[in-house]
Amino acid sequence: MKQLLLIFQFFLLSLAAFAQVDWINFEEVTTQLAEEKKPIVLFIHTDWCKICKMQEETVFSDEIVAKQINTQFYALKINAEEKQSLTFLGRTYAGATANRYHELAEYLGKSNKEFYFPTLIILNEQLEVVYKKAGLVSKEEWTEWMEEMK
Amino acid sequence: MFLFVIIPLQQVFGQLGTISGTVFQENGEVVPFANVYLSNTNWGAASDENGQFKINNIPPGEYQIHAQFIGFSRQSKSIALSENQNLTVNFELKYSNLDLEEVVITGTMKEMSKKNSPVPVEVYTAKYFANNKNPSVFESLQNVNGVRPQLNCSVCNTGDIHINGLEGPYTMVLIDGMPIVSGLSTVYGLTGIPASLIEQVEIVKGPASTLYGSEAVGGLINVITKKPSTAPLFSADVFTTSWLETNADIGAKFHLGKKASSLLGVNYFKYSNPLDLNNDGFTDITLQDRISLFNKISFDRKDNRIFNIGMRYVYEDRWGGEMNWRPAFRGGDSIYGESIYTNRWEVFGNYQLPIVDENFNLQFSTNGHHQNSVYGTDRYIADQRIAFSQLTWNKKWTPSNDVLLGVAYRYTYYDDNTVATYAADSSRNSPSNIHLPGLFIQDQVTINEFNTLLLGLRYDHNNIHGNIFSPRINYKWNSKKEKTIIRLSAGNGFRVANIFTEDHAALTGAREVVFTEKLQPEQSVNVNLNVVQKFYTKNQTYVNLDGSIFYTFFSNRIVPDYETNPNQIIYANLDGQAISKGVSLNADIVWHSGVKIMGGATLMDVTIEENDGKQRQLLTENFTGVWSIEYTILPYNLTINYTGNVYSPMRLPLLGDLDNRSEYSPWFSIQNIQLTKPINDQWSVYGGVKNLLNFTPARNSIARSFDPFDKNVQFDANGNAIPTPENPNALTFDPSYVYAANQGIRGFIGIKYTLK
Repeated sequence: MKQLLLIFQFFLLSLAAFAQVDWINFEEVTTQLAEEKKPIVLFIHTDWCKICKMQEETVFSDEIVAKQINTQFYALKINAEEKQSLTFLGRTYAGATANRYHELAEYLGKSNKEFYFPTLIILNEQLEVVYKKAGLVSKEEWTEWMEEMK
Repeated sequence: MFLFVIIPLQQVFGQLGTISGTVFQENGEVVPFANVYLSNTNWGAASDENGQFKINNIPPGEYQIHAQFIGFSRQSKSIALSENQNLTVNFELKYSNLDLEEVVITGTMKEMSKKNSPVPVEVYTAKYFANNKNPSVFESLQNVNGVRPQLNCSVCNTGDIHINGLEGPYTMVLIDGMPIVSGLSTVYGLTGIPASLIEQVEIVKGPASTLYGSEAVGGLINVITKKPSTAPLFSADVFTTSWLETNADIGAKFHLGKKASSLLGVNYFKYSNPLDLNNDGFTDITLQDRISLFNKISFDRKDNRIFNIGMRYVYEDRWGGEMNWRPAFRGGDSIYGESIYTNRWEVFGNYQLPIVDENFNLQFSTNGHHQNSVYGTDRYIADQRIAFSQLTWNKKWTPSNDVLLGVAYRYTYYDDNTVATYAADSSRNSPSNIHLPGLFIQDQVTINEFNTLLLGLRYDHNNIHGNIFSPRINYKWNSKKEKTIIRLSAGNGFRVANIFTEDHAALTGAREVVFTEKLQPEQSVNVNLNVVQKFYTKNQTYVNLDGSIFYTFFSNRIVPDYETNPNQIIYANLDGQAISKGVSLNADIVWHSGVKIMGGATLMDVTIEENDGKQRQLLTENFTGVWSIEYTILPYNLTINYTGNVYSPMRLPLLGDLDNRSEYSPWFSIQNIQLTKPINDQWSVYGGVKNLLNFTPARNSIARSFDPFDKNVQFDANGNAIPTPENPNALTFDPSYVYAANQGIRGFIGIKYTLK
């Protein structure tokens, strides 16, 4: 038991410095883009997907990564199983049903007809997809992208 | 920069023109930020937030102008611009539903398909089950903590699913949330769903939503099939083991006109190679020949309403017995065999009523199950038909109250050739007809960001047993970032038992079935506490701990008594209490390097207490552990899965005091290793070893296997076997002493083809 507690403490102590991405609403993007053009980070997840949680809690919560996202991008997050419809950049996408995921998540996130979670997409200032990855994007990988995008 | 370009252009082309306009979409609204450009030039502009664009300083000429934007198909127009002209071009973009065609990077750390519900739902993806390939969901569940596929008969290998020590009838099986309401063995709900069509399996341990009736107190297994939009066009997966067990799974997707799509699955399993490695004269495992067809049709309807119809058909021919048994001996007393022909069909569906702004769902499920079985000389021929329908109305009354109202009706017809369906005076056959109308209401109350409460109440009326009330309560608390979640569930259960359809031992014929009274329905109260804690470390490791405490109290429990008289099974309502309680812990660790470890352990105590003291429930372990370790060696793209489970001793049914077999099973562990290697986008191969430790149950598990018809057993006046020089332990033939499949180490190899 004592050992177990020690392991717990180890995990708690080794938690990364607290930082978080400020996700914005899909509806807001249009007005914000009108004011200032910025690339978009779009994160597709589900609420049961462990790797998605890992992505959020070990990469997006990293101080440097969170800061980069918050200052250089508009950050959007969509649950592929969300039932509510959403309007994104002028088009309204239907919510998830038993037969498919959220239209927006599927449209942007499917890769070669399959759908993996998480999927991370970057749209440039012209709102074209420039980067898309199905699976965890590690800190190292994210840093590489940021270098490439410069 | 532009100025330099413009000045020479003006000199060359004379007066420059302007193109402007608005980008609209199908519904008449504008498209902001769309890219509008002239092909083969650098001239272009983006529409503003009002959809308007303007491209200045265009030399006169003929052009192709295009508008394109994410979410829409590109539209192109030919235009001619004359000197100094201000040309207006409007676009109307169509919605695009095609995949975006950009290059995707696919990593290894990803998932394909836990709800935010107050009910603790465990989600196991198809990928998880593929870590240890098995012919059906039934066998696959051995990799889930707290769930044990239990074999009930060492000759015919039929089984049921135990969740936290509660037997099969307490578990409800659903396909896509549509209940496969079943009395005749929950198992058939889990065989014959082609693995290729499974997206994930959701498991609820303990009382689930009141939506699923008063029987599902042990838990719920919901098999979710692939969504038509992401299912592959065609897939085939075939494997065979060194015992020559062959399993084939085929899945295909079709479009039926423009408005419907169909998922078709075929599963075929054959094992026809009788082996008797333990030399008891009996087949070690049952020979099986099973085909199942599954078809789900989804219709595209206006406003995204649901209409799905599923159909499933399973035919199975299985037999086990003495090695030289042939179908010609079926039912005879010369060579012992157990042979079961099962024919089962199901039609189920879900239809959302076309009522604007309201969510009414009609679910229906109907099935027929015909079983023709022979256990030695005893025949059991049963016919069951169930029709089920329920209408639900889901409405958010206030932002925090999500209310579900429903009416349900279930009709069960059951007939067999045993005394169970004889009229009271035993003069004529009288099939049972049960009508079970019900009403339920449930309210999911979102108290605040951290607290959610689910309250449910259900009322059913059984035409034989009268009124049944079953309240349910589920409460969830979560921390701000959902790193900690606590869930508390409580509910009661009510179950009318059908001994013959549920308890295989009643049928084996090895023992006489005795009812000492008219059986009353079983009642139970169940409480379940679940705590989930997530950790993330600096080096990008994820840890998820999920612990539960469960407690179920039964009154009127129907307990088969194997021990009073070894030649009888006496069924009676327990005149005392039965309690199932325990704790379970699941740990999930994912390293950034791609190593995934999942382990689970359950410690439980299932006891039956009567006036003569407390006893452990037969065939129930105190401890189980499961694990699954996965690692992908990236340079070779080779995935290694090591899976296993371990069970503590279970108390086993003995045949009286002189029985020399062990009263307890040993600790045992079944461990498997599997390697999977994708060859390209379409093909992958896999193979491995099952039961690495080569564990098999004791050789004397079947008592007196050499004398299956008890021809050399002498009985006293009460029908009890008496010790004789030939039979010193006073045994009779008995196959009910079974706790694990009699199948040792074996290799397997398979190949999978997927066309996306």
